[in-house]
Amino acid sequence: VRVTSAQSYNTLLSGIQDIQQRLQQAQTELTTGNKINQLSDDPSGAADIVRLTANKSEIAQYTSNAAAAQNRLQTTDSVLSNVQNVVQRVIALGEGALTNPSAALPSVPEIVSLRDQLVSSANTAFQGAYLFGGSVADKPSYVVQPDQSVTYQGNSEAVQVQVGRAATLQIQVPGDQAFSGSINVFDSVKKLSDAIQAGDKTAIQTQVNNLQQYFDSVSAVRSQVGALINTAQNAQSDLQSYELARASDQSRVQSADMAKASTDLTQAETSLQAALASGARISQLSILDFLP
Amino acid sequence: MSTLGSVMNSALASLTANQLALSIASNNISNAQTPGYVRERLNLAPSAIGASMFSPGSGVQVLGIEAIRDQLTSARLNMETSYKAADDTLQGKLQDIQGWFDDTQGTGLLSEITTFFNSFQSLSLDPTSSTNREAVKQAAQALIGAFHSQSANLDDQKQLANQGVATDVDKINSLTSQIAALTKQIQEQETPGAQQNELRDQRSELVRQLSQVVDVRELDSTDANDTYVLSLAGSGQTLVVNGDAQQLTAEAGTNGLYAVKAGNNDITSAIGGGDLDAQLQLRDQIIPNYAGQLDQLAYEITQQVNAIHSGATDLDGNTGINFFQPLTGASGAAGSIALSSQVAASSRQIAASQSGATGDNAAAIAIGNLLTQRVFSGGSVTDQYGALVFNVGNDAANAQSGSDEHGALLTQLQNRQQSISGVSIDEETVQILQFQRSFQASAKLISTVDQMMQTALSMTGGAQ
Repeated sequence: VRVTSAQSYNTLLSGIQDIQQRLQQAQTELTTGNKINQLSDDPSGAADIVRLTANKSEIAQYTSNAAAAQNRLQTTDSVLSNVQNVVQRVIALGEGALTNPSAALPSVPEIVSLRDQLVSSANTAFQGAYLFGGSVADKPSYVVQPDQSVTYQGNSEAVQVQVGRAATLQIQVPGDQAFSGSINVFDSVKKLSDAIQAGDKTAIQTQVNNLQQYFDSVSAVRSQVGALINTAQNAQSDLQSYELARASDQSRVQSADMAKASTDLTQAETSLQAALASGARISQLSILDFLP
Repeated sequence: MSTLGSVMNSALASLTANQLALSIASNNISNAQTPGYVRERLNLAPSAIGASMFSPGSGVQVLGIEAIRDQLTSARLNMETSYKAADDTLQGKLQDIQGWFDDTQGTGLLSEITTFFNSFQSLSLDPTSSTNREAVKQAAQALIGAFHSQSANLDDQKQLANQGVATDVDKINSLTSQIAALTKQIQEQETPGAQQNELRDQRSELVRQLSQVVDVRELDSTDANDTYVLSLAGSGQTLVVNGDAQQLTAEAGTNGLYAVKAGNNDITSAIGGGDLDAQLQLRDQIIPNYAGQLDQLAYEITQQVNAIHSGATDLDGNTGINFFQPLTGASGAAGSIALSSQVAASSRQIAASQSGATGDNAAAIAIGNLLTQRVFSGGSVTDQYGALVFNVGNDAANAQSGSDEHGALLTQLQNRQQSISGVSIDEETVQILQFQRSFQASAKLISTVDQMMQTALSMTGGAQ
């Protein structure tokens, strides 16, 4: 076979270009740490990354939902704990009225103001939305009517949010469970203060019993809220481990094998050196150098 | 009987032949790096003039200067050049296009899609919050903006490819006119046995350049008719017949896209190979395919979100409001997707409530959950987008490997052609030495014959 000098240079040139390409590939992998640096490096891997990235942002959203739910439930719990304190005080005042009738009348104003406190607790807003109105979020949950009765403006819907593809979490307790269920705490307190004013001991006793019962029902609601807070926390830690799993999936698809990339780099470097050295030799070998 | 005169003549013929050989070697060396140059060789034969039984030949005879060509390798080389040029163009363009869908670099639509649906999940935490509502609106505007810019980018690339078609047709016309002019010159000047090598080299180089634009076939018959025909590989449409070039035209249709025509014949679909083929593929298949997938995605998002949204209640108790401006069909959806006038006017009109109560979030959750539900034609919305990403990446990878493959074949063929037609400096140098020696020997012969003649003359002079 005839070999011409242009042929040698062509071979050298295409060889060098080839090696340069491998060198660049290895270098990009090493500097970015990724083996997929453009879609064409691994199209199906790139599609996997789309799926995994979407999955991660979905998990991040569920996590932030669960965290917000937890916040809200904790606020609900502290409001209910406060309600229990108030109710306890009312019960104490009612019992005081039974044992010490002289203290009965002076306690009435306090009971009235405690009822106002209960109404304002029931109308607590969390970030602008009323906590105890069911899904009626833009109106105060309870309103005091001119005749001093208190009416519920909300509904019995328990609002839920998504904390997983198939997992929802209740984020609030409607007022008709927390304040005006089988016993309406506002009515009960009103009746108690009326009974004290009227000196009706039987009625006082009835209302004290009712309030005791209400206190217990709030305890039950609080333990329900506690369970929900627990669920929210568990959901967050579950999501965190999903997120780690997705991150490791993604890294498996996307991350470069550093050992392999640096070996490739060294190999390409060696090949390039050899190619360049042989290139330098080509021009040295000519018959012209041997003629006198 | 041979005479001193005839020896002198044959020595002279040898001097001329060797001189010619030297000048050919010199020409070869000068053109060693000239693209398209084919090495030449002097064809010599012993001259038989005046030869008889008792006389030697009358020296050397120059038969002609031959260019060492290999038609088959040239033809294959031109073909590979076409394929390589097509893949190179595709690869370059797809490299650009795939950059816009690269979500690992944050350029794709993915983050806009997930942010949009997730914003509804955030809204579900507190549907009355104006902050949450504005966030939904902003996420939707970002998604719409991303669809618009992707669709505009694809359209730009399509228009560029369309311009490329017109430019390529111009290039073809300019090259074929030059080829026809050269052919005319060659046919006028060539006589049997004396080929116009330089003109032929120039023509081969032009055909090679033409091969980068479109795949062509060359028919160069060396018979008595001496016809030269250059035609398109795909349709067989002739571009050059002897000294005449058939001009192609790029005619813009009603959609502004150029059709390639030869006379009244539309040969657009029959074009194969070269940059022109790549531009046509990009314009008519590849980019419309991506744009179609993008449109379908935008259309389905509009449909799915509207279906839930229009059945839900906004903050002021209104129902039947669309979130996106309803679209009549998928065609052009990515470019025309927009917020409905109501939602654009006020974020209060975003319908999050299914029951009608302001704090109800069921509709917001239902829209947010669309991110993962497999209700889209390609699975979930991200699956469907992922399919587009895969297509773009796969096309780019195929163009890349095609270009590498054809590049390797091209190098191989170039080497073969070089091996046959290329100039070897060493070989030429050796030839120069050979011819130099022959020249010296012939010169020596002349001076020897001269001395012999003088001797003969002095013999007569001495006798007197």
